Amino acid sequence: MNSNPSIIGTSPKRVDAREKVTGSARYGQDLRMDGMLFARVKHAEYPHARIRSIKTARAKRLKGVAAVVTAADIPGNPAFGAIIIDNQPIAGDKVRYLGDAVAVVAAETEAIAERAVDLIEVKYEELPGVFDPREALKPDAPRIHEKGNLIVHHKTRKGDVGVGFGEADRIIERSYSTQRVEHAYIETEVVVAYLDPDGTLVIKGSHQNLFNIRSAVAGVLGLPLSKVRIIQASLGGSFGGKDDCMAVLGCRAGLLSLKTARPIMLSNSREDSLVESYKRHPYFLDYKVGVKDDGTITAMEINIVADGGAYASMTQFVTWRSVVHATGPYRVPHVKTDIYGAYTNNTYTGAFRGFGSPQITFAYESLMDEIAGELGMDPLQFRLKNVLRDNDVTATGQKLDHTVSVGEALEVTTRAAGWDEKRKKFPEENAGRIMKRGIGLACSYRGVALGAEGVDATGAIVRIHSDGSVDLTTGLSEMGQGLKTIFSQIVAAELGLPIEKIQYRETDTSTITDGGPTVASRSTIIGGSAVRKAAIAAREKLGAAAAEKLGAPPAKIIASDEKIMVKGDPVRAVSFREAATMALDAGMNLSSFAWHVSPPIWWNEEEGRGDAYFTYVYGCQIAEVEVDPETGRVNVLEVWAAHDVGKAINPETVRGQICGGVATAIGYGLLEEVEMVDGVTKTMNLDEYLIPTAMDVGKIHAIILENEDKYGPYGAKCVAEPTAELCAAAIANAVCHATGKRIRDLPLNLERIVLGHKLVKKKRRVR
Amino acid sequence: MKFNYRRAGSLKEALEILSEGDESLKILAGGTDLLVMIQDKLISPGVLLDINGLEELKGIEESNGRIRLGALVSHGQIAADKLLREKALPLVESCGEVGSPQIRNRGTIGGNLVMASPSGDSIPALYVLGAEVSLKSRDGERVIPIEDFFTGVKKCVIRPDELLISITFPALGPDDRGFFKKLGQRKALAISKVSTAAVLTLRAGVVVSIRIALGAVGTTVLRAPRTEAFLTGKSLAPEVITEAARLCAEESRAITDIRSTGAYRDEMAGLLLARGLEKLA
Repeated sequence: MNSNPSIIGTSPKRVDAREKVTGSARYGQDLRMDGMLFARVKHAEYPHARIRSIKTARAKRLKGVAAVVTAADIPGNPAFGAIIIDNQPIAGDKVRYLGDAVAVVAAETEAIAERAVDLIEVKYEELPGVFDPREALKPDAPRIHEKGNLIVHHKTRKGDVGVGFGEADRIIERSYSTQRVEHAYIETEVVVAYLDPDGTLVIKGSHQNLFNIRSAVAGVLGLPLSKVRIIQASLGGSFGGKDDCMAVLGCRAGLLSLKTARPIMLSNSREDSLVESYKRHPYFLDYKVGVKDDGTITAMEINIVADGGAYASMTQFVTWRSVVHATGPYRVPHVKTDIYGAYTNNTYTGAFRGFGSPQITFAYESLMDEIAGELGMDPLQFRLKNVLRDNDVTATGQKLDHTVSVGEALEVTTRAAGWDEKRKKFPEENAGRIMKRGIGLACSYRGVALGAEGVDATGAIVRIHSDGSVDLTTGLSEMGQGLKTIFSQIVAAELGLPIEKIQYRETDTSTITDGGPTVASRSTIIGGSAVRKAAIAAREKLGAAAAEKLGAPPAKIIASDEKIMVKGDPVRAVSFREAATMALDAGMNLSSFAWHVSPPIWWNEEEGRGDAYFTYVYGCQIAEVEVDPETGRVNVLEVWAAHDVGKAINPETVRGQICGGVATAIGYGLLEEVEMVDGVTKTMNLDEYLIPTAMDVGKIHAIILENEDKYGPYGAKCVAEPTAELCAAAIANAVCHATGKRIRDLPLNLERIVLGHKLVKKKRRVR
Repeated sequence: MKFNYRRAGSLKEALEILSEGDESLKILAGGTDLLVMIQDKLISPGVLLDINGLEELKGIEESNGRIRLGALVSHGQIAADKLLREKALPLVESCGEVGSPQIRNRGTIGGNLVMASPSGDSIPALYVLGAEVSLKSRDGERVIPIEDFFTGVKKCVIRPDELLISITFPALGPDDRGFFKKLGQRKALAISKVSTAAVLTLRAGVVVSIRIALGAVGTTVLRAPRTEAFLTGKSLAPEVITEAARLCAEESRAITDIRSTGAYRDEMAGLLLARGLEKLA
């Protein structure tokens, strides 16, 4: 039995558009319950200190205060974590950054809770702090965690870099750095925790990864997983940012709910969020490249240090993605890459759209332009000479058995942007004008889904009701990326129904088994495959029931136009609804659960090699800028962005993802930095932490490339994160083309372009 | 946060309330700064006195060559006003760059002055226009030249019993020119790193007189007297402008803070001046 998937590759209206546009969507902050208490957090007063005593008696006595909890009240594990169990929702013996909590209060109103927080007295013994990851790795650095400050060291080894450098005509060494940035989702973190009558602790809120949060809450509160239920409210943006920090809120609010037997709302103000929630890792990157005079790369040696902040969070995984991709999408016969993640007393760092790629892409793509410059080659030609092609072998020794389209992306994008002409024309025209034009490009390859980070599997449930309407449930989350729409489209395609017939149920850990996190741009390829399987399984049952009535073999039956019909004979048909009723009356099960596991991959951590991901995507972005060299102002005039998504199930959503990723990267390239001085956050709200406005984002030309992949539903791979990893490098390259100035540190703000250094000079800056 | 809200029905009533001497009282006009300060717990007023109903504090008028702005006139009104565009261009340009449309529509010119931020964008423009500020209390009215109004960061001479009711300045004449230029980190919704305003009288290509004011460089907006003296009596030849920019950068002596560095601000103060002058040359 087949379907008519004509809806694939079209852009129906988003299934969640109406509720969001009309304001009826219920976000975490909209939740109210009878008897609900409000929680506030007593935060650490030093970035690194031992807690000597906490006095809560005065706070407890305040009228309207229902409970004050400290680490001593935690019934389960004192901490949680993805790999290293080090993140303490309430600090017990030691605080490690200013976002740590030492106590949490629940009161009748937020104002009372705040007053109570002020009445809590904490005595500390201040400890010397470490705020630079390179300092943290020195043997005499103060220890932030007992096992030392090294979170992780990953490596990649291929060939022999000694041999590679020996073959080179030139060796080029450069250092780059990237900054700490904030997700700046419009909705800050919020949860409501309450107990169901059966004793289940429910935590509803702005969750990205519900099952991670459930594990953390169950572990810390000493509950079985079956007694913790995580429900996602409509989410006001996440970008990787609502994972560990939501687990922290869930543990704090959950503990108070257990203590008071009342619903608890805990929400972060923007200031709390800027200090407490994790950020994107700052990186310090040193690259050494051997190259022949004809432009052939012979070897790369890379050393990177990442600032993990106070807790490990996703540092192991973020840096692993970096170590796999650090050379960029190039044929490099000899590779030696080392990356170190270190604890500091800064706000911890974790998942952020891109996940270890925007940092390295900025470095290696700036570097490719620098090398091309040294060789007197055009940056495009230099790349085309070295980029990976079909059946090439990556830096980790993986042979690429799919269509390797980075060359195509480069060619398509440069053609669209008028590259050759502008590279030649702008320098000539710039001679006579104040505002300098420049054009720069960046390209990348990116492993799709989790790769060898861990098990990559997820499930979906499709239920056909007697009236022909359909429920769809998965464990993955809508965050604005369009997942509900894409998944609904897949079900509609397989069942031959209009998309309006598909109801995407809210995401709730009690309705489906753990299908992993909504991360790594994995939802379409992994989740979409599971959804498709579940829809096909449901359709097969329907087809079997209809086949008998229509007097045709099941292989001849198709689902199309809300009918179950005989292929090539549309008169012999029953409506979808009739077929459903028939099947149910016959005692058939029209609910199907399907599970999809990613194809096999492997990684040898000891030897630093492996088939890291089962497939890759490729992209290229070009930025055309106008630079005022006197003020340092960079105007991004136009961006051309080409991404190979395998197959665009919903092209408008793909274009939306591309535009969003480019805007994020423009902020990363030009504006954004969470300024911290000795562990203290200086940018405390969005008037000081500047993200791009509509005025700052130029025209974006989204170009969709489609080389279907055998592992994806309908050939689809992913879009999401690659769109955010390229533009900062493209801008830096364009600025250099315009002005001749190479800037190796992000962001390229006004002062850096004019004076060559950043806004606030940090202490302990090494270079 | 809890406070009592009072709405003044007339100027007289407002001044009576102010004369009561309630130290916990704060005046609510546009609220774009006040509400943020309350939210950030920088202040916790007991009473908010809403003056938005006071007709005496509204309107833009010209009489006998002077322009009067009611204190409640919004940045948005100023930015869109035809009369001001013709006769007070630096003010129009500065108000058009304040915050976002929402902030411009709510924030008032009087509020911008009493907040006394050195990066308040309307202030350098009012400096170079030679504005005067009228402060009224139950006991009388005093008129203060704008340059005597500010005493430090977020500090000005207004007394708790006084209300800033209007701002007046001479309309620019046919030989007068002016501009306001600012630099922020992004194109909209950015507090100035540095701003420069100037008004000059130009006859037969010669600068007869000039006033220059620099915003966001010091604890208050500053004039650039040496640069002004240098330019007076000169034509706006390229080498004159270059030297003026150098002098201006030299006498800016800007501070370093979270928004920028002194070195950058100094250089930009001069550059913005040069760019403004080049257009007039």
